[in-house]
Amino acid sequence: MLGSLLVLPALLVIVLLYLYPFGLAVWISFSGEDGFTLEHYQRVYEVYWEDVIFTFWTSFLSAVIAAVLGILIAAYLRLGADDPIKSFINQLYRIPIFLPMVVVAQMMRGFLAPHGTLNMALFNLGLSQPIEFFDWKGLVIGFVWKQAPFMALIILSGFLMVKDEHIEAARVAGASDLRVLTEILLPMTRNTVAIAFALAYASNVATFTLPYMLIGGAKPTAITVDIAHRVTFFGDWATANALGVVSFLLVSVFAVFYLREMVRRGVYER
Amino acid sequence: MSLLELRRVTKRFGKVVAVSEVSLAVGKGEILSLLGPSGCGKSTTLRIIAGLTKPDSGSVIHEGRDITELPPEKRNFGMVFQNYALWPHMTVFDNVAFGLRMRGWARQDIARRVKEVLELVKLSGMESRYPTQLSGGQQQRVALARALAPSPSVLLMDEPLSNLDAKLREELRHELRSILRSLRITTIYVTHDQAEAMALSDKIAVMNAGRIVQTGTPAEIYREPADPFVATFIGESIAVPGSLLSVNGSLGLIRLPNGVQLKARISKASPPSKEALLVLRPEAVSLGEGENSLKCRVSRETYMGERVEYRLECEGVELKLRSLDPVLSVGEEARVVIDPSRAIIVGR
Repeated sequence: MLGSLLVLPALLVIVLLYLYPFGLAVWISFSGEDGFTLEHYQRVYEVYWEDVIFTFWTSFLSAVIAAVLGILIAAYLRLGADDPIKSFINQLYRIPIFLPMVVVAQMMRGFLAPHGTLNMALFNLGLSQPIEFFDWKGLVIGFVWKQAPFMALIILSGFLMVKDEHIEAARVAGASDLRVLTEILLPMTRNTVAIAFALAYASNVATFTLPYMLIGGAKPTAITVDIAHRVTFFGDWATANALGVVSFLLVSVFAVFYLREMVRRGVYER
Repeated sequence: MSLLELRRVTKRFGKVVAVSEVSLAVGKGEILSLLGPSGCGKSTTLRIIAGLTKPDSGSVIHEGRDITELPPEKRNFGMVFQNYALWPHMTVFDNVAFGLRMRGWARQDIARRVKEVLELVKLSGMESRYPTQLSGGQQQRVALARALAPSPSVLLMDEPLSNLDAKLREELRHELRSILRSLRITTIYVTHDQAEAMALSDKIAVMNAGRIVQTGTPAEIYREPADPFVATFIGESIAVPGSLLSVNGSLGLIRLPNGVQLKARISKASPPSKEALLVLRPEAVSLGEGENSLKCRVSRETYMGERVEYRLECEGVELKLRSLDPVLSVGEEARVVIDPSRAIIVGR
């Protein structure tokens, strides 16, 4: 009984600050003038379904590419020989983590513009027409640029938990660095990698600034841009909330996995 | 010709010299132990041989080829680690099969070989278990099977029995000896346990402060210590400094600080010098009177089960005396004889 009372303040904070606003948003998304309705979800399906699919696959693809790059960076930092280059990369790769998304978006606009750095480089390589990057391509490049270092940081922390002896035993047994990565490091840290992926994917789905500054209202765009558009121009909170619920469903599969892993590992129990 | 050689290998960690100018040679099929106290550089030497640590200078020669720069995965060595280092996400089968897969063996050959080595280490039927489902002794057997499976050219063992309890350690020591003998595999075995080194090795290299101070057969190391460190590190000994007065063949006459003069054998590995050390092991001391004897008083009696051990105060020198049965009591006076063929004089 006393235990339950002691938990109560924390529980109240969670209920009031998190569950109530979330529940209210869900409630509004199902509320019409005559009570319960599915009309907002119907609008989401009719007007924004293409954006829902777009948000899903650009976020997922970006997280996959960022995961691959993050794994490679972490593997180099864990398995590479200690030298000045490694030390330099170890400092350098973290910088994007600390840059706000709006700054990343502004950088990407300059970098990916029709006469931006990337197109000029491609032009110098022989490409005659500039590539249009202010669509899914730019979005994926921006997400990867921002998320790969973050994933590398989390994955490296997992790799560092693997004892040196486990790696050395594999090396003496004949494993190259690549085999050490695929046979020892990744299987022993697969939950850490999955958690890093889930966080990066969820963050991509929830990002507004990058798709807004790169794609804006052009079709297809991200759900977050649609939500802002719905609220700003129509004052339509119900449809905006319905879009929010859909974006929550997009990340919930991975969020459930993340929470289950955290509880299983005992992080929330300590 | 030696199968494996270290030539003047040195390794520093910052200002600490972990391995200093170490040279050694191991013949094919030979079991060599690197024996020494903690921090003497024996594990670093082993890691240099494995390719896990790069030496600052010197070279590692395998079958006449310089492999100092060769990465560990290309050396075809096997290694057993102190903490087993079994991969927890793999079954016993997968752990043992790993080295074979890395070498591109066919699936059926892998299955046959894994079965063979698991039989050798008496773990048949455990293939599908995970390391966490095994006892410490079983895990060490898996580690041995994993190292042996690819038939390595050299087997490296880093204190493989030190995490086991005393009874299991002794049991595994005998099994290990018979396995290594039957396979005739060249082995370098790191240990701080002299009994283990004595029981397992053809040759022992005693290390101290990053250097090899003596290499020889277990009998040579025990009977003919090269310096005071080896004399006191090996066996249960009491060392008393003294002055060498005269040498007569293999025997020397040494004067102890209390003025007592005793005869003892001069170690063949240590050239006679005036500044000497008399090394007395329990087997050199027995109850009796006459020449080479000392007057003693019993200061402590310890019952050890299979024997009784006495601490004796002998004219300012403390000695140990062993007896199968209780023959003295604390405070009692007795004379002990020092056997000159078992007491050893080494140069200081």
